[in-house]
Amino acid sequence: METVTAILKGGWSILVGLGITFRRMLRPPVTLRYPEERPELPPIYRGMPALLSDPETGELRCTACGVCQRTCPLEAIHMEPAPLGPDKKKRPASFTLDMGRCMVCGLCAEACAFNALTMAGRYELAGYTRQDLIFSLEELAEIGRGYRENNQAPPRPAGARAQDGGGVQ
Amino acid sequence: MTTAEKTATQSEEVLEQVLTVNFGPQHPSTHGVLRVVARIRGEYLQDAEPDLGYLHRCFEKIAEGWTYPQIVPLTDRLDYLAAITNEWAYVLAVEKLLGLQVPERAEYIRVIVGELQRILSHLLWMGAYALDLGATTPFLYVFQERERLYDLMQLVTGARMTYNYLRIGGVKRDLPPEFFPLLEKALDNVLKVADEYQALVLENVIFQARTKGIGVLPPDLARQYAISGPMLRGSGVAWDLRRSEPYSVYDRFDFAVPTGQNGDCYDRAVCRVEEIRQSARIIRQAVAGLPAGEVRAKVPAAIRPPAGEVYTAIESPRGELGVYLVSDGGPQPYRLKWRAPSFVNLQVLPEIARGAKVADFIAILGSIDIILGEVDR
Amino acid sequence: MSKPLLELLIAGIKFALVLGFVSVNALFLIWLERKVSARIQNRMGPIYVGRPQGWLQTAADALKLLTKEDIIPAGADRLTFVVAPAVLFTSAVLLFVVIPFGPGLIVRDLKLGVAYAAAVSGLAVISLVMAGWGSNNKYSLVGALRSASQMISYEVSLILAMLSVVILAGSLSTVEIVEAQSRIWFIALQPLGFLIYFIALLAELNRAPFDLPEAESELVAGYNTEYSGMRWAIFFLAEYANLFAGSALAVTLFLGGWQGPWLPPVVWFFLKTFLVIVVAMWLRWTLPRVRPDQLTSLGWKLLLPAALVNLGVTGFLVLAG
Repeated sequence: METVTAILKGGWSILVGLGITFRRMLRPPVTLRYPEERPELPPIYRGMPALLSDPETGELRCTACGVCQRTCPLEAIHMEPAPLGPDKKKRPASFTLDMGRCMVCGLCAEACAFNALTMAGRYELAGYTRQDLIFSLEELAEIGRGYRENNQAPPRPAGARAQDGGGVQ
Repeated sequence: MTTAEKTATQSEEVLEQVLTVNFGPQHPSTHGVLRVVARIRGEYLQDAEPDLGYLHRCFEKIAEGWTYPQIVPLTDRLDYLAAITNEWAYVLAVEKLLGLQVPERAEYIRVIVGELQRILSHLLWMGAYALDLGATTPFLYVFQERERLYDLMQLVTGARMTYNYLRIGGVKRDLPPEFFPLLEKALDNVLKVADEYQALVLENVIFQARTKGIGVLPPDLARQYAISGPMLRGSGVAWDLRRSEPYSVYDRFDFAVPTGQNGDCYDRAVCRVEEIRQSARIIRQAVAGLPAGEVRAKVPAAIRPPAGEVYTAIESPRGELGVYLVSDGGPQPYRLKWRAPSFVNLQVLPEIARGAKVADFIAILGSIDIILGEVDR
Repeated sequence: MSKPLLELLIAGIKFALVLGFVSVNALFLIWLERKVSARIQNRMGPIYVGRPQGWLQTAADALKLLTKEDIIPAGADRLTFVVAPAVLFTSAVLLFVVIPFGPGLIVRDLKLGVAYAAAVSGLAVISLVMAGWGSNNKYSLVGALRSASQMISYEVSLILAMLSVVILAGSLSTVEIVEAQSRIWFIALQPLGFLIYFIALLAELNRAPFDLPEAESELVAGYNTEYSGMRWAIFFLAEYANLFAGSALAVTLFLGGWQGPWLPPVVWFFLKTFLVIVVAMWLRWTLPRVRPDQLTSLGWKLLLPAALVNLGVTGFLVLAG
């Protein structure tokens, strides 16, 4: 008798499972057909870093202070300051980002005190060669200009700048 | 001897022989790059020895060269299915060294994302375990819910898996207002999929036949091996750090610690599914009681904790995640030791797998819930 | 042309037709399986090759597999390794000989059709053992041994379930069995027999929940771990050809074969067969896998006694009139 109930219960559990998969079969697929369709990403989505420029003058906001370079745990950023021009403004002469090293942690963007560096939300980061993964100042500025709609970084909590500025001593 | 006779005796020899079989590092069900050297005789397992190190990345040594804030994103890469809990254990250790008081709102936010992370991790386990036992479909079902939860995590942290969200002294940013209605909906869906999983998998006659009485871990043995997490609770020991040694604000929430009776694979599975429901309860309470205020304490620009050593432990989805941190007063830790729960839990595999059948071995290995990123560090 | 030559020619044409049908049908079934599994899992399945539903995907896959490098592992038993897929495919094709697709639409109406089908389907396991042994791989070997032990646990019940139908029809010829169901399908008289046959059929086809010989989470790919390219494709095709043949046999024995109102007989036959196939797929994407010893115990302790009782009762009832 026990065996019979066990068999019936077992058979019933299989029928229940079949019922569940059948109900699921009636639902539409949930697939997002990337790359034909694209996910909608929140504005704070990180992606790769890029340089922002002033929307009015079009000039880069970067002052070549080097905090990002010091904050980066992976030494992905290499920046050289330009010699001071007649307007006494500090500018970077070169700014290279090695995406082959970058782990998209966003510490550089948090550390930037001038809102000149941001995580620009770009997520297609593959390249055919390693050289493809190294981005120059101009390329980063171009990516930053494409990021216009989110040019204003989200408000940062108090104390953020102070802490994250403290990179390698 | 004729050729036929010769072949016959040869096959007999092979059948009697103990075969040494490599499970992994490339194998469909080693959950990463675990290698297990198994000696099998027919379908029976005589011995199974885990061989580690295929994913070793010198985490602890790297941490000695990085500053305290820089290590937070690095911890994401250990147990990559529960990045928040890694960050949490680490920042808790640094805060303890600094004697830092974290704002209450930040503590609540940590609980919310931490429990979301537990749900995410257990959901993946549920799917992967069904896959180990040959049922492909539940994997896709739990992944649909995981996607929704990952969208939520992305809304909060800006990334899908490696969040870098917790900060020494708080969290990176406050929860956005659009997060809460989405969370409510996602939790409803998670509970629904947990019930569905219960009916589709846990109560299935084949699943029960495959897991009940398999890989029994007696409570004594579990204690001897310092097993923690759902593994231990499946054996009937109600030990959960959130309850036994409350950290953060866990003493303010009402939740049950599910335990099993027999310590077999089935009990572990039931415990994990029940923990999802309890985590959802905790999240709802935390959202209801979320206080206003800052989400980040004032922290000096350069973090140089006073010389000393601390040990902090939290309950990760896999068990007791401990961080032993030694400071010499400099900007970088002198030593960082990571007590990875799945590394400790994996040790017991040879004990509970001995004498099992090959098919059961997969069931046992899957029920431990190892993450190789954490085992090898 | 002399008579034997003509017959040979006709047989050859029939054989070519069957071969073509088996291959195309297997490709279609692979596509169907992928679509059914995708629907169950809320996915799309193949959509790109052959839009809109990806119906050319399996043909493309087959072409790709044919052009791949042919790898024979070092230390393999070359002859068995090479012959094994062909043996499996042959056993699948041979089954089609006695399947009545419609009235008169049968390759050869053998007097011992059912016995022939049982004998031919037993050949498949030889191929699996050959593949497992020839590969010189431990996973393959365990998979092969599993398939052998699996076979001895379900084959007896499978044949006993077929026998009760034979008793009812009073004939071993598949055509006569179908004709005997003109008034009532045998599934109504033999519900238990059908259940036993269906479970044993799933085991014979190595389909979930009985896909032990290739249990990928345990044995990587079981007996076909070392196979790649064309040989692997043949294994795959043969598997689906077997699925069709097994389901067609189930329809012939229990579901009234080609019989049915309004529609032409062939359509009825295919409708029923695809229904059985879809149910088998549905089961596969729902259930976990059983353990080898559980299958053996299911076969010997449950299916066999049930099949014996079923056969005895059937015999008694037929005798009693």
